[in-house]
Amino acid sequence: MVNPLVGIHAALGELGIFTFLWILVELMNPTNTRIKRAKIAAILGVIFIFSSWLAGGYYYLNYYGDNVKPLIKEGPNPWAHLIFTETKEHIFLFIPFLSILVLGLIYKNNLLKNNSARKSIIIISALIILLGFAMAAMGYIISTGARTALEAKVI
Amino acid sequence: MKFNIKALAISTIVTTIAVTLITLIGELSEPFKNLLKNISGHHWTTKSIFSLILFIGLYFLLLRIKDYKDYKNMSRDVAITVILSCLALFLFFTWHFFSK
Repeated sequence: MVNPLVGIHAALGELGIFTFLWILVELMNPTNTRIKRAKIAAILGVIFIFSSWLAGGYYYLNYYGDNVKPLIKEGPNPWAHLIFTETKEHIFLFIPFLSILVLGLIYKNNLLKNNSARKSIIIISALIILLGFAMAAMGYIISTGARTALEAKVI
Repeated sequence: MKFNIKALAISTIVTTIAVTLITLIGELSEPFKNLLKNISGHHWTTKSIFSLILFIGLYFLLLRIKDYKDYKNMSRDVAITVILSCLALFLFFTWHFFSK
Protein backbone atom coordinates (compact mmCIF):
# COMPACT_ATOMS: atom_id res chain seq x y z
CA MET A 1 0.00 0.00 0.00
CA VAL A 2 1.17 3.51 -0.79
CA ASN A 3 2.14 5.45 2.35
CA PRO A 4 -0.51 8.17 2.90
CA LEU A 5 2.16 10.67 3.95
CA VAL A 6 3.34 11.04 0.35
CA GLY A 7 -0.20 12.06 -0.62
CA ILE A 8 -0.40 14.49 2.32
CA HIS A 9 2.99 15.97 1.33
CA ALA A 10 1.87 16.39 -2.28
CA ALA A 11 -1.54 17.82 -1.32
CA LEU A 12 -0.02 20.37 1.08
CA GLY A 13 2.56 21.32 -1.55
CA GLU A 14 -0.13 21.78 -4.22
CA LEU A 15 -2.24 23.88 -1.84
CA GLY A 16 0.86 25.98 -1.13
CA ILE A 17 1.51 26.49 -4.83
CA PHE A 18 -2.13 27.44 -5.47
CA THR A 19 -2.01 30.07 -2.71
CA PHE A 20 0.89 31.75 -4.53
CA LEU A 21 -1.09 31.54 -7.78
CA TRP A 22 -3.93 33.18 -5.85
CA ILE A 23 -1.56 35.97 -4.67
CA LEU A 24 -0.30 36.47 -8.22
CA VAL A 25 -3.83 36.82 -9.58
CA GLU A 26 -4.94 39.19 -6.78
CA LEU A 27 -1.99 41.50 -7.38
CA MET A 28 -2.29 41.71 -11.16
CA ASN A 29 -4.81 44.51 -10.64
CA PRO A 30 -4.82 45.27 -6.89
CA THR A 31 -7.54 46.92 -4.81
CA ASN A 32 -7.71 47.12 -1.01
CA THR A 33 -9.96 44.04 -0.90
CA ARG A 34 -7.63 42.05 -3.19
CA ILE A 35 -4.58 43.03 -1.12
CA LYS A 36 -6.36 41.87 2.06
CA ARG A 37 -7.06 38.52 0.39
CA ALA A 38 -3.44 38.31 -0.84
CA LYS A 39 -2.24 38.83 2.76
CA ILE A 40 -4.40 35.93 3.95
CA ALA A 41 -3.14 33.81 1.04
CA ALA A 42 0.50 34.61 1.93
CA ILE A 43 0.05 33.37 5.51
CA LEU A 44 -1.74 30.24 4.27
CA GLY A 45 0.97 29.70 1.64
CA VAL A 46 3.78 29.78 4.21
CA ILE A 47 1.84 27.39 6.48
CA PHE A 48 1.15 24.95 3.61
CA ILE A 49 4.76 25.03 2.35
CA PHE A 50 6.25 24.45 5.81
CA SER A 51 3.69 21.69 6.52
CA SER A 52 4.60 20.07 3.21
CA TRP A 53 8.28 20.28 4.21
CA LEU A 54 7.53 18.46 7.50
CA ALA A 55 5.26 15.81 5.93
CA GLY A 56 7.60 15.21 2.98
CA GLY A 57 10.65 15.15 5.22
CA TYR A 58 9.10 12.63 7.61
CA TYR A 59 8.03 10.42 4.69
CA TYR A 60 11.43 10.70 3.00
CA LEU A 61 13.37 9.85 6.17
CA ASN A 62 11.12 7.14 7.59
CA TYR A 63 9.58 5.40 4.59
CA TYR A 64 11.08 6.35 1.22
CA GLY A 65 14.71 5.54 2.11
CA ASP A 66 13.99 1.98 3.27
CA ASN A 67 11.12 1.02 0.97
CA VAL A 68 10.99 3.05 -2.24
CA LYS A 69 14.61 4.07 -2.88
CA PRO A 70 16.01 0.48 -3.10
CA LEU A 71 13.05 -0.51 -5.29
CA ILE A 72 13.70 2.28 -7.80
CA LYS A 73 17.48 1.75 -7.77
CA GLU A 74 17.06 -1.96 -8.58
CA GLY A 75 14.36 -1.30 -11.17
CA PRO A 76 14.54 -0.44 -14.86
CA ASN A 77 14.61 3.34 -14.20
CA PRO A 78 17.20 3.96 -11.44
CA TRP A 79 17.67 7.51 -12.76
CA ALA A 80 14.24 8.32 -11.30
CA HIS A 81 15.91 8.30 -7.88
CA LEU A 82 19.50 9.12 -8.74
CA ILE A 83 18.64 12.21 -10.75
CA PHE A 84 15.12 13.28 -9.84
CA THR A 85 14.75 12.44 -6.13
CA GLU A 86 18.22 13.82 -5.45
CA THR A 87 17.38 17.04 -7.32
CA LYS A 88 13.87 17.36 -5.86
CA GLU A 89 14.85 16.90 -2.22
CA HIS A 90 17.35 19.77 -2.48
CA ILE A 91 15.47 22.22 -4.71
CA PHE A 92 12.50 21.91 -2.36
CA LEU A 93 14.60 23.55 0.37
CA PHE A 94 14.55 26.87 -1.54
CA ILE A 95 10.75 27.20 -1.55
CA PRO A 96 10.02 27.87 2.17
CA PHE A 97 12.41 30.84 2.18
CA LEU A 98 10.93 32.27 -1.02
CA SER A 99 7.47 31.99 0.59
CA ILE A 100 8.68 34.00 3.62
CA LEU A 101 10.14 36.63 1.27
CA VAL A 102 6.72 37.00 -0.40
CA LEU A 103 5.04 37.24 3.02
CA GLY A 104 7.49 39.97 4.07
CA LEU A 105 6.97 41.95 0.85
CA ILE A 106 3.17 41.79 1.14
CA TYR A 107 3.05 42.91 4.77
CA LYS A 108 5.75 45.57 4.51
CA ASN A 109 4.42 47.60 1.60
CA ASN A 110 1.46 49.63 0.47
CA LEU A 111 0.89 47.68 -2.72
CA LEU A 112 -1.48 50.28 -4.20
CA LYS A 113 1.40 52.78 -4.29
CA ASN A 114 4.57 50.68 -4.46
CA ASN A 115 4.60 49.19 -7.94
CA SER A 116 8.10 47.67 -7.69
CA ALA A 117 7.06 45.76 -4.54
CA ARG A 118 3.93 44.50 -6.31
CA LYS A 119 5.96 43.39 -9.36
CA SER A 120 8.53 41.70 -7.11
CA ILE A 121 5.78 39.73 -5.35
CA ILE A 122 4.42 38.64 -8.73
CA ILE A 123 7.90 37.57 -9.95
CA ILE A 124 8.75 35.60 -6.79
CA SER A 125 5.26 34.05 -6.62
CA ALA A 126 5.66 32.98 -10.26
CA LEU A 127 9.03 31.45 -9.35
CA ILE A 128 7.41 29.52 -6.47
CA ILE A 129 4.65 28.29 -8.83
CA LEU A 130 7.27 27.22 -11.40
CA LEU A 131 9.28 25.35 -8.74
CA GLY A 132 6.06 23.80 -7.43
CA PHE A 133 5.16 22.46 -10.86
CA ALA A 134 8.71 21.14 -11.18
CA MET A 135 8.28 19.39 -7.80
CA ALA A 136 5.01 17.81 -8.98
CA ALA A 137 6.58 16.68 -12.26
CA MET A 138 9.57 15.17 -10.47
CA GLY A 139 7.24 13.48 -7.98
CA TYR A 140 5.41 11.91 -10.92
CA ILE A 141 8.71 10.69 -12.44
CA ILE A 142 9.78 9.20 -9.08
CA SER A 143 6.40 7.44 -8.69
CA THR A 144 6.76 6.09 -12.23
CA GLY A 145 10.23 4.78 -11.32
CA ALA A 146 8.74 2.90 -8.36
CA ARG A 147 5.78 1.62 -10.39
CA THR A 148 7.93 0.28 -13.24
CA ALA A 149 10.14 -1.47 -10.67
CA LEU A 150 7.05 -3.10 -9.13
CA GLU A 151 5.83 -4.15 -12.59
CA ALA A 152 9.25 -5.64 -13.30
CA LYS A 153 9.02 -7.46 -9.92
CA VAL A 154 12.54 -6.46 -8.91
CA ILE A 155 11.84 -7.15 -5.22
CA MET B 1 4.63 43.79 10.49
CA LYS B 2 7.96 45.52 9.86
CA PHE B 3 10.07 43.18 7.77
CA ASN B 4 13.46 44.27 6.44
CA ILE B 5 13.20 43.10 2.83
CA LYS B 6 16.88 43.58 2.05
CA ALA B 7 17.78 41.34 5.01
CA LEU B 8 15.17 38.78 3.89
CA ALA B 9 16.41 38.83 0.28
CA ILE B 10 20.10 38.47 1.26
CA SER B 11 19.19 35.64 3.67
CA THR B 12 17.26 33.88 0.89
CA ILE B 13 20.11 34.26 -1.63
CA VAL B 14 22.84 33.16 0.81
CA THR B 15 20.79 30.19 2.06
CA THR B 16 20.05 29.07 -1.52
CA ILE B 17 23.73 29.23 -2.50
CA ALA B 18 24.84 27.56 0.76
CA VAL B 19 22.41 24.63 0.36
CA THR B 20 23.55 24.16 -3.25
CA LEU B 21 27.26 24.26 -2.38
CA ILE B 22 26.90 21.96 0.65
CA THR B 23 24.96 19.48 -1.51
CA LEU B 24 27.52 19.50 -4.32
CA ILE B 25 30.49 19.27 -1.93
CA GLY B 26 28.74 16.45 -0.05
CA GLU B 27 28.28 14.48 -3.27
CA LEU B 28 31.92 14.94 -4.24
CA SER B 29 33.41 14.29 -0.79
CA GLU B 30 32.33 11.19 1.12
CA PRO B 31 33.88 12.37 4.45
CA PHE B 32 31.91 15.63 4.21
CA LYS B 33 28.67 13.76 3.47
CA ASN B 34 29.36 11.46 6.43
CA LEU B 35 29.90 14.52 8.61
CA LEU B 36 26.47 15.83 7.52
CA LYS B 37 24.94 12.41 8.27
CA ASN B 38 26.58 12.20 11.68
CA ILE B 39 25.23 15.56 12.84
CA SER B 40 21.53 14.61 12.70
CA GLY B 41 21.38 11.04 11.42
CA HIS B 42 20.68 12.01 7.78
CA HIS B 43 22.41 14.45 5.44
CA TRP B 44 19.07 15.95 4.30
CA THR B 45 17.94 16.62 7.87
CA THR B 46 21.23 18.39 8.58
CA LYS B 47 20.82 20.50 5.43
CA SER B 48 17.22 21.35 6.40
CA ILE B 49 18.17 22.41 9.94
CA PHE B 50 21.26 24.23 8.68
CA SER B 51 19.24 26.15 6.08
CA LEU B 52 16.68 27.24 8.70
CA ILE B 53 19.36 28.34 11.19
CA LEU B 54 21.32 30.16 8.46
CA PHE B 55 18.24 31.95 7.10
CA ILE B 56 16.91 33.04 10.52
CA GLY B 57 20.37 33.87 11.92
CA LEU B 58 21.38 35.91 8.88
CA TYR B 59 18.05 37.77 8.86
CA PHE B 60 18.41 38.89 12.46
CA LEU B 61 22.09 39.72 11.91
CA LEU B 62 21.16 41.97 8.97
CA LEU B 63 17.96 43.34 10.49
CA ARG B 64 19.39 46.83 11.02
CA ILE B 65 20.76 47.36 7.51
CA LYS B 66 19.09 50.03 5.40
CA ASP B 67 16.19 48.56 3.45
CA TYR B 68 15.65 48.89 -0.32
CA LYS B 69 13.83 51.87 -1.76
CA ASP B 70 13.19 50.02 -5.00
CA TYR B 71 12.71 46.24 -5.23
CA LYS B 72 13.32 45.84 -8.98
CA ASN B 73 16.84 44.41 -8.70
CA MET B 74 16.02 42.35 -5.61
CA SER B 75 13.47 40.09 -7.31
CA ARG B 76 15.79 39.72 -10.33
CA ASP B 77 18.75 38.72 -8.09
CA VAL B 78 16.66 36.24 -6.07
CA ALA B 79 15.14 34.69 -9.22
CA ILE B 80 18.52 34.34 -10.99
CA THR B 81 20.14 32.79 -7.88
CA VAL B 82 17.33 30.26 -7.43
CA ILE B 83 17.13 29.32 -11.13
CA LEU B 84 20.93 28.90 -11.44
CA SER B 85 21.03 26.84 -8.23
CA CYS B 86 18.24 24.59 -9.53
CA LEU B 87 20.07 24.13 -12.84
CA ALA B 88 23.38 23.44 -11.05
CA LEU B 89 21.78 20.73 -8.91
CA PHE B 90 19.88 19.11 -11.79
CA LEU B 91 22.87 19.14 -14.15
CA PHE B 92 25.19 17.86 -11.41
CA PHE B 93 22.97 14.89 -10.52
CA THR B 94 22.47 14.12 -14.23
CA TRP B 95 26.24 14.20 -14.81
CA HIS B 96 26.80 12.15 -11.63
CA PHE B 97 24.39 9.46 -12.84
CA PHE B 98 25.90 9.16 -16.31
CA SER B 99 29.51 9.32 -15.10
CA LYS B 100 29.17 6.20 -12.89
